[in-house]
Amino acid sequence: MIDNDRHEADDMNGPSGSSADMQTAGLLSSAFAGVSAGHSAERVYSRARALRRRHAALPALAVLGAGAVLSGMAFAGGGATAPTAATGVAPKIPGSQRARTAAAVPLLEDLHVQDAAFDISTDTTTGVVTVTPKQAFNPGELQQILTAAGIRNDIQVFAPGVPSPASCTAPAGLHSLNVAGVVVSSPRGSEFSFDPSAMPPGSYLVVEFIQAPGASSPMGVGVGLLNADPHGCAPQLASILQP
Amino acid sequence: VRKSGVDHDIEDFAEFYDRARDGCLRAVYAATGDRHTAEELTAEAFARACVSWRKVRRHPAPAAWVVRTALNTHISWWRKRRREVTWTEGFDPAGSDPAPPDPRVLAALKALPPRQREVVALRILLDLDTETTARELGVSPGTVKTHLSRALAALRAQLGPERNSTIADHARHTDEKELAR
Repeated sequence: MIDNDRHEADDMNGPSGSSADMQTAGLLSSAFAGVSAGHSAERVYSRARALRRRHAALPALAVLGAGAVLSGMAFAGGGATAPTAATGVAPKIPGSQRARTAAAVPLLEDLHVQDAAFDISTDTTTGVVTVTPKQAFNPGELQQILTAAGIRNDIQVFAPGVPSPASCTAPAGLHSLNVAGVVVSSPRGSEFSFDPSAMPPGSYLVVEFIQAPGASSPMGVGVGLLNADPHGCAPQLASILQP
Repeated sequence: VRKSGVDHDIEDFAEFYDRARDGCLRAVYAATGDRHTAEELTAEAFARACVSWRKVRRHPAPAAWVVRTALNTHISWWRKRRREVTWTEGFDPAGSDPAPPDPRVLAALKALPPRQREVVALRILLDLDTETTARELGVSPGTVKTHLSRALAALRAQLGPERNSTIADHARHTDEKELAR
């Protein structure tokens, strides 16, 4: 609740305004009084551990990045390492094995995240599939309609903060594509469409639902495009969105 | 038994987390207008506070640091997603919100300019004083007072005295439901 001693009258507009402002402020406080945090402390600690690990890995990644730039410059300049690079064998640099492992994890840079589930419809003349917000949520139905429309897709549902299963290994060379042209927002801003004809050959649309355990509807939907079939191992939205 | 510095830090942070998490969530909720986003942002900000706890604990208002970090993260996420469509139209978030504030209060808050919402969040819901709010937002205390005054006037105009009693009833009802749980 608001602390009257600290909220001096000079914050408000005059004596009468002050009283009315205090009342409005009190109402706001009361309105939010029932809101309490749903996330657990364990989730915070888990994320903190991940952040610490990432901070610890940053210097190594910087060295790898510098190595990649240097090897690229050597290739472009036709230097001593150029023949090696031209044959497709990367010059040996410290930590290169780790670099290849990291590169195998795709990043959906053009990920779209929405705060609703959706309803879907297909335009029979253009083949464009349009989704509109709704509380109803059925990933199976979405998958069926997208597949029928000729859109190769991978639908996933997961709880926020839950890491990918260890057994899930993304295929080598999997990477994200630009969704521009494939995913089109409507001028009204309340729906968007998938255009199968704009999808590059072999590409896969990835739709990921974030849904808390026990929740009746998802808290978010992410849409991205991959160059190949992720075999159910598309990167999880939660880990990608972490800044 | 003497505790190590790390153990002490963890206990200290846990205590802060228990004390501040609801207040921070309410402030972020008020500033963003979306419960789920607020939950995600607050959890992320607390995780960052945990990582930098030795620095954050020396902050004059650690809860303000958490809220500021959450709001900065929100901007960062928004920048990543700004080419997306907004799907709030036709979607009722109350269905998945265990104790939603009165929708009229949320709508009135959403109608405020972002900076005014932030001032309301920090001054009223996080109960910070004018000086601390100003420092957190990087503005002068006079600017905070002006924003707060305008925000409250706009909220009063939106909600009106006759609606206020209904909102108070809603809040009371929500409190009772919380107590019953």
